[in-house]
Amino acid sequence: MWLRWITIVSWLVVAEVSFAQDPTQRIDQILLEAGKSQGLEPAALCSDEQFARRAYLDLRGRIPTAIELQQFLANPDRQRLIDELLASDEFPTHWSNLWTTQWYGYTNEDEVGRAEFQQWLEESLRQQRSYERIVHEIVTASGESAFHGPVNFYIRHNEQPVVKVTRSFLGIRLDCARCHDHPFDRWTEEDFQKMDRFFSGLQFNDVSRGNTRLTDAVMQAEPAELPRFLSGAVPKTTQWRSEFAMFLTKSRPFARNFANRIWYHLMGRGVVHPVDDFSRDNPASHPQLLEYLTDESRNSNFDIKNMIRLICRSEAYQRVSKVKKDAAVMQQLFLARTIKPLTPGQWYSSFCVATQKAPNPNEEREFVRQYLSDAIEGDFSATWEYKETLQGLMSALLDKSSPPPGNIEELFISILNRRPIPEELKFFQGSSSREISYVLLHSNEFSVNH
Amino acid sequence: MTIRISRRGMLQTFGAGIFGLACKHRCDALFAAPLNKLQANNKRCVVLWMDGGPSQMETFDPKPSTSTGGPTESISTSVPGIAIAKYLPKIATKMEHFSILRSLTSPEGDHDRGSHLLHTGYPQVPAFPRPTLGSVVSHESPTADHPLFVSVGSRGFGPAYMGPEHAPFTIEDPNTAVSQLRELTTQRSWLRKLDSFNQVFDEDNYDQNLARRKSSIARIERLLSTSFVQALNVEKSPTQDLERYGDSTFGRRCLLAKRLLDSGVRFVEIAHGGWDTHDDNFNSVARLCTEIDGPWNTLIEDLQASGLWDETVVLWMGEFGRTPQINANSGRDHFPKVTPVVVGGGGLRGGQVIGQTNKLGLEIDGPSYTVPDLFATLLSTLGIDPNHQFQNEFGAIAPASDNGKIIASLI
Repeated sequence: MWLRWITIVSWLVVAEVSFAQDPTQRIDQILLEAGKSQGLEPAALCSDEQFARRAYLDLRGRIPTAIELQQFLANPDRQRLIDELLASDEFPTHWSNLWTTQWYGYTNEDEVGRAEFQQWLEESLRQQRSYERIVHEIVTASGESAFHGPVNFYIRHNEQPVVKVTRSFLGIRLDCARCHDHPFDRWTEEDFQKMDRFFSGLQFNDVSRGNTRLTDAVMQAEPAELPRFLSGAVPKTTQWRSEFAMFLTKSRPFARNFANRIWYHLMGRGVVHPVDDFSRDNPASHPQLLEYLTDESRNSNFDIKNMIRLICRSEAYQRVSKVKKDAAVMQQLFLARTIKPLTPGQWYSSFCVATQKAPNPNEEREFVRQYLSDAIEGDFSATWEYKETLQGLMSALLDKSSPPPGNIEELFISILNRRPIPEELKFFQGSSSREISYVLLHSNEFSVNH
Repeated sequence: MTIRISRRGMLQTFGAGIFGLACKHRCDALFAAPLNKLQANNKRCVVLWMDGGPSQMETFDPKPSTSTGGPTESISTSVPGIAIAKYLPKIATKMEHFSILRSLTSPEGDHDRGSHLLHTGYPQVPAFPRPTLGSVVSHESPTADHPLFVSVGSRGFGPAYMGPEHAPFTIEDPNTAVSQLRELTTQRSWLRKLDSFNQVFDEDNYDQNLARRKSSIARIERLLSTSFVQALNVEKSPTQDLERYGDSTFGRRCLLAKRLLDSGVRFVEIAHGGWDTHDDNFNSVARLCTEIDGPWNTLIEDLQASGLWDETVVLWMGEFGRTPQINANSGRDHFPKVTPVVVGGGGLRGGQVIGQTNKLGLEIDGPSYTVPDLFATLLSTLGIDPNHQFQNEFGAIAPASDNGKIIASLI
């Protein structure tokens, strides 16, 4: 009798705990319910090979080597793989790359400032600093650009930095309110002007060539002339920018933007999409999910790895991209995987893995520079284009390296991370290994994260 | 223009109709291209882009013997009463064919913003990217198997809502481009193999990027058999052409521009760097002018000889002019208030100076023109209605010109 009671109670406790503590389940629950209301069933879960490729690309920024793949397949524990990849040395490198592109972007000149910014960001990720702290340090950055990475953010965006700050860290576009009241939104020109004032004390002084000192003037103004945060908060001290950073990082839209961006990087589209367009006109596809992820972000104190782990463990992350019917809707509802083009960095690193070639930083920089057009403002979704020269670029790279060794099976595994199907074996019958690797490396399957 | 829409593309288009809101951000490329096609025409354009901002005082608006003029002397031109700086003696003999715009003013004194304005006719607003003029011309020309817009030596600006097919085909170095294309020609069978290999993956996976990539591969495949590829091979030009244009970077670029126009390209931008003369302005600009004078002159002669001149607008400009005041390093700084532009061909009036600056070049005397005015004039000359309303991918109305008024004296 006692034993029975104990069993029931402990079962209840365990059940309760697991319900309360497995937040991943909540994600899938919300998505499945939303799907059901549209009469749609989710796509199947992906194979272990596909999962490995996906997770390696997302977390380490490259495809797995044949050996890494083999090791995982011998004991395919997906949760363990996620943890291993998060702990790897390449995680901070890849994610600092992603975020530098979003926050700093690419310019024709000033690769030094970009490098300083990225190195600082990479170090911050390596130290496991929270997202809140990272952004706080960027927004309040001051000092000399050659010695303090985040200062370069303001040097890059020295003209009305408020535009980039609100886009990157709140996901809203104040730009349009710069010259007129936004026709579709609630932000007015006055909101813009008052937000802009937080940054009016910024002073840039050239210390030496390539080194600029950023300082703040002590700011004072009549009450009517004070800056005002979008929430209505006004600064109480003369340190306007510091107070801005506090208003920003403590606001709920800040947490929403964080949750939505992490989701976007991993899932290929935001719950609000495009990610920098939180507006009345562009509602979240799953408001409940967004609020849930937002709460999780705040509860975990903006722990980046925690958030990534949470999403990668979900079934939503592990679904196949293959769907025969209603593909677009299935992807929008996160019932099937959205395909993402590889970033130039991912492409280059994966290329090196596939062809067993040592990466060369100069070659990589040149490849990335040629790949991205000037127009890119850091948001891949907005201006991603396959340039016409891409083919030329790739074959130029291929030309310099000898084809990877191996027979057709080995080539498929090292380049596409899977075995060929019988039809493919037949298709490539009589082809040289150079030709096979040319086709596989240029294939759509290689060039996207699927 | 016929638009090839693949089966997958059709599905996307219809999908967007049904699930419009959620889909609208992903199908931009498909919607951008077929919109509001205008009447096709034969007009072409060459932009000689003086990167860094050319000094008007040492080129087309010299002020000899004044406190701001520096040592620059002027020479008379083939049109009585018009004088330009002495560093451009060959161009001076062609004055009857082009017009000098001395009263164009711009508000943008920053390199990036100035370049953006002079490439698109619109101020730079990150949330609302604008197409560069070459992309608009490409979009409004009949489709072809080769790129219609080529940018040499500069990375160019983006096509924005004209769609990715109208992005500039950018060439850093023609020799590299030629060897890449030659390489591709030998790999043609591999490209076909690639196309069939992709089919299985594309059938199973839905994404607009796949369709775009497929069309990009197909476009390159078609490109390989066009005369464009031969045109690119500038080193294979007849010896006398190589000599007439001169063995210099800019000379080769001008020759390349001519060859590309002959092969059917509609818009060529060629860049010439080094005009940001904050230091040692006078020696630098003298040298820069010498570099462009001969090739530019030869280009005009060749276009006239081949009969393309009346269909081809030739435009000389940079992002802004330079200060009349001479700084402590014998340099001149950014001066968008006066932005020099020289334009000829395409049926435009030549042999005239439009507007004037005052004695020291500090102000424009009398009426001035804006960059949108220049763009309205160019668009109209190139057969595109400046008031034509394009739409961006979000459906916002985007007129071809930013309320510019056509400069009547040029027409």
